[in-house]
Amino acid sequence: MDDLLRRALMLPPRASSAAAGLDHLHYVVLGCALAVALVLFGLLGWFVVRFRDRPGHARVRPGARSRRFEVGLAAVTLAVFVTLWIGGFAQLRAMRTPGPNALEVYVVAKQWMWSFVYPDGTAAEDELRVPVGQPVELLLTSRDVIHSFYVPAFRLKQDAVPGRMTSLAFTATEAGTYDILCAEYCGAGHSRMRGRVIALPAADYARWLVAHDAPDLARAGARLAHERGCLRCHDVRAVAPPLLGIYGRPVPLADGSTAIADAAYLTESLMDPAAKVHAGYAATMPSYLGQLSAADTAALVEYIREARP
Amino acid sequence: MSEPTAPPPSFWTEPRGVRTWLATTDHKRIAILFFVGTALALMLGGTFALILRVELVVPDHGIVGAHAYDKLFTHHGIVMVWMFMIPAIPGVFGNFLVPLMIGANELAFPRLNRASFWVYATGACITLAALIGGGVDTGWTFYTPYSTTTPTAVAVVCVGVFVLGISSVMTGLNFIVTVHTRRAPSVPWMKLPLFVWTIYATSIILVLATPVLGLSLALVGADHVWHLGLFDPAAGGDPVLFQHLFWFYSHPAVYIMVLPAMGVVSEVVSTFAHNRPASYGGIVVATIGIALVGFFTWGHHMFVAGMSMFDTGMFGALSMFVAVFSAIKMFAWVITFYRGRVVLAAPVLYVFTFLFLFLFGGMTGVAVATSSLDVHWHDTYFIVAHFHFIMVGATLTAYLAALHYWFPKLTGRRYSEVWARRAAVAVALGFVGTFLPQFLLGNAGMPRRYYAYPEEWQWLHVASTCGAGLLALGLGTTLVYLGVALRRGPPSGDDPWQSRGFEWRTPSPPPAVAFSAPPVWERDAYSYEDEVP
Amino acid sequence: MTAAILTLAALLGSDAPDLDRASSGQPAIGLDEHVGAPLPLATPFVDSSGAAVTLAQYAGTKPIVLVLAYARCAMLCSVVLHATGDALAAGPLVPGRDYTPIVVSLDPRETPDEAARRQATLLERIGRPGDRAAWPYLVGTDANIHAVADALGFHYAWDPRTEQYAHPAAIFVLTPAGRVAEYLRGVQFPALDAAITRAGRGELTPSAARDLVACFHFDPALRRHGARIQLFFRLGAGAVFLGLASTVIGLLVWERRRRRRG
Repeated sequence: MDDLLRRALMLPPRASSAAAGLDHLHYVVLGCALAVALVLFGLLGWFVVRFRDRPGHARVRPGARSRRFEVGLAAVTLAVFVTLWIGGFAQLRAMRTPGPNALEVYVVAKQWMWSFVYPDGTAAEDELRVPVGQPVELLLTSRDVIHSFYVPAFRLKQDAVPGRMTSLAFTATEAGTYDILCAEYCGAGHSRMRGRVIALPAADYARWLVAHDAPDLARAGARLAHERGCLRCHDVRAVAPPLLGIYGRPVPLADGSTAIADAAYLTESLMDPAAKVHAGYAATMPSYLGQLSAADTAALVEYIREARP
Repeated sequence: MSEPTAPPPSFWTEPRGVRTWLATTDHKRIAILFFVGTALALMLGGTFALILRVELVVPDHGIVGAHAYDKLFTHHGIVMVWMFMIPAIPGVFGNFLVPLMIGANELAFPRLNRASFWVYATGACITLAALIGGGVDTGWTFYTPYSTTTPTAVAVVCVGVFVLGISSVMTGLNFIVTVHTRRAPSVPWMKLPLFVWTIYATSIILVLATPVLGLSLALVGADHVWHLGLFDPAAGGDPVLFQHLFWFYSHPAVYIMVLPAMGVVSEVVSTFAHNRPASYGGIVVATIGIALVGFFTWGHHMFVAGMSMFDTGMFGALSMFVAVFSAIKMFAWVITFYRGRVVLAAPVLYVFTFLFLFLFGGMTGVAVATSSLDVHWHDTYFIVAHFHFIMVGATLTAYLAALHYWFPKLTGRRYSEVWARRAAVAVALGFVGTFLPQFLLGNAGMPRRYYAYPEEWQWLHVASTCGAGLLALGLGTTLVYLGVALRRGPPSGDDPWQSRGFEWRTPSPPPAVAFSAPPVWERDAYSYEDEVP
Repeated sequence: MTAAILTLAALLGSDAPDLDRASSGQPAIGLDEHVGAPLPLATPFVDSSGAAVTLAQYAGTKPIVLVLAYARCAMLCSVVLHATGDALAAGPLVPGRDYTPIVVSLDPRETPDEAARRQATLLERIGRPGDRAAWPYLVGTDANIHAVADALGFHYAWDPRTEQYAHPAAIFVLTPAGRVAEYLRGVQFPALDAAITRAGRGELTPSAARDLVACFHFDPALRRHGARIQLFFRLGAGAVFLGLASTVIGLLVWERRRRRRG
């Protein structure tokens, strides 16, 4: 019955501890609406048919209206709404309270991607892995405009606001892969700002924690970019040119000429940043000559090549 | 009838000439000017909506690009909210009827009224110029810091909406003073027609809330031009503060739209049930109650923006009071039909649609006001469908009900009842057909303002677009047969509905000066008791 | 409306937001690096058991990891403290043996009791429950806290609107002699162990990341414009009120005169 209703209402499968409660409260409110509609429109239909204007329709004086009836009706309505509110608010309190030993993951949103940073420093783009059954608390912020972290299968959503940290607590209950959507309009890429949350059985999650840094060059580059703080400047528009989508594009230079942002240009920019400065930005970047191994440099370039808005 | 007899002199023809219309201070002519303005806005906003719906038939890359899509939904919202729905009922029917309903020949300040129309026209032109010359892609809500950083024409649109706001304040101020000072001796407060009460309540909101919108948009516009960083966290600003300021106006703005719609429904229900409204007092209390409590519910737009538990709870609970006041009205309207003499005609068909949309729009509002449900449904199509039901659907159906109910009053002519009923059914089915699938899309998790969406949702979008087509067909039909009736409709007589309303006690259409002396009305506007043997 | 525009103009005339916040003397909130500066080790504090202590007691042989935070902090402190705790627990270095982590409370109202409670959760986090010596938590007077913070270049301020201290996100690594060796900014400290090792050797490492000043996202939003926006709204409301009142009165007078004449 529950599952039938869920499918009929197009609600997605449930994968978090909050989902079932929300669905059920939704059924209750919908049920109230349908019951009231049935009674009111039933009465309306009956009145319209019974008292319609027709030859021989004899009017009867409407009974005196009772103040007590009116106040009573309003009071009953209020009681119903307040009951629904109490139910909802209690539910919200429970949802907002993180469970014991919550796994904290930092979420940084930006146009148009999600970055996740785990307690051990692991960073991931657009892919959040969580263990099933363990409480998780996400700490969200944004680097540019407001975004909203939304996982329909979890029935959960929280805005990521620049300059603020917000939090979202949940416990995944079903292993699987679920969509992360951005629910707050954030520009032309809003509808493509999608990610995945992968809920893994606890054992698989533990295994992943150990094995996750497979030698993927672009991912290694992404980690490096985080560790070295590249993105601290390179996505704040006023400080340094954004890296996303720059690969292969012509770059206007301060001296008026143009360079193509290929591997050679990017490597040169890492090692001798003052040589070809992007027009419109101050030459503030330090040189990484001698600080990055060849492999690290390659990883960073690969990361920039792969990163697309 | 090929050559109708020359109509008696009315406000339409005396004085003659286009210039007398443009410079008019007659509330009836200003109402007609507002009708032209709001009807054009409805067509424009509707066209944007149709393009959006056609775009969304395919999951990605339809007839417009992503950036054009962002601009289109922004333009749709701005045009519909500030150029159509806010002025629609107060500007047209409020202007025309309030003086007739209180026994006055004009509003308190006829020249302020004229100014309010031309300020509206100016604001509309500025806004439209900005939309044509580049457009704006922030959504009608102008959320910072996106709105202060996007390279689109935000500042000009802010100026345009600011000017439209000045027009609102002028209209509201005029109504408040008029109701206080211009009532005929035989119209004491508790005999005011319910429509006048709702216009009065709306005017209070217009005067109190609109300046907040104006000031907030002034800040956004200034920030956009001069980069003040007022709402930019990098410069020590707080982006969420803007949401509070914006919704402090824009939530009461919902009641600016819906309260006059409720007033129309009260009048139409009483006339077509030939019955005194059940609980006049209850409806008045609920009207004022909604206007007041409506000022303290704005926070329910920010439940997932990082609001504290306490605030969330309070805003949720206060929102429930609005629902109770709305429910009181709903019950009163239905009970008014009891032991009446019910005549089914186009206006009352629109009212039935109104009641349906209002009930389900209201109850979906209760759903999200529980606060926990908002966590899943916020910013999804469920919200889109919810506010289109409660705000747009209610306003549009009441606007159409008012148009059909008072068409004889405005023009002295009748329209084709058969076509009116067909159109009313098309509008009802079209509206529900458009937004019912959107409730389901919201359940499924489709966020609003999405250009691209997963393919499994396509059939619901197709269904929604079909509904929109039917709705457009119904509205287009209405335009045609009302246009025909305006030129060739048979004369309606002064009171074709056998209403007891004050406004029907003058000739239809009214002469330029409706009352030669303050009218003495012995029986009130709902005195149908004489029909009972 | 003219008044509103004038107010806006006045608003523009005042100082534009400056990112480095250092344009006029002492910045209100921020971090100046004083690498190599000696800390006033003799400053008296009280530890979580209520005993009088000085920083000098912890200095001498081992490097120190210093965190300025406070128990009632709603946001940033717990983030920084948890991250510090996680970084401490993760590395091969053992707190108490290889180095001494210390929390100094920013809030002079904080009592040793509150400190003890907070300390207990921190100790649990690094897997040393009950071992108070593993991570001392000190409270002190406003002047003494400021003496330490000033030496570190750590500028914070009480924000009466949010009833919170606004402060930067950073922790400090000191040499055994009590000099500032390194600043670690942000809310993740994967490089903590390396920094402790360097400090233990007496190395002073100026942060290469001056650019971080522009990185705002974990900086508490200072809401510096709140007061201005409020003033703007007050003036705007006043202007609207005066405008409406004069419109109504003016029009009423005008109408009355017109009627008397006509």
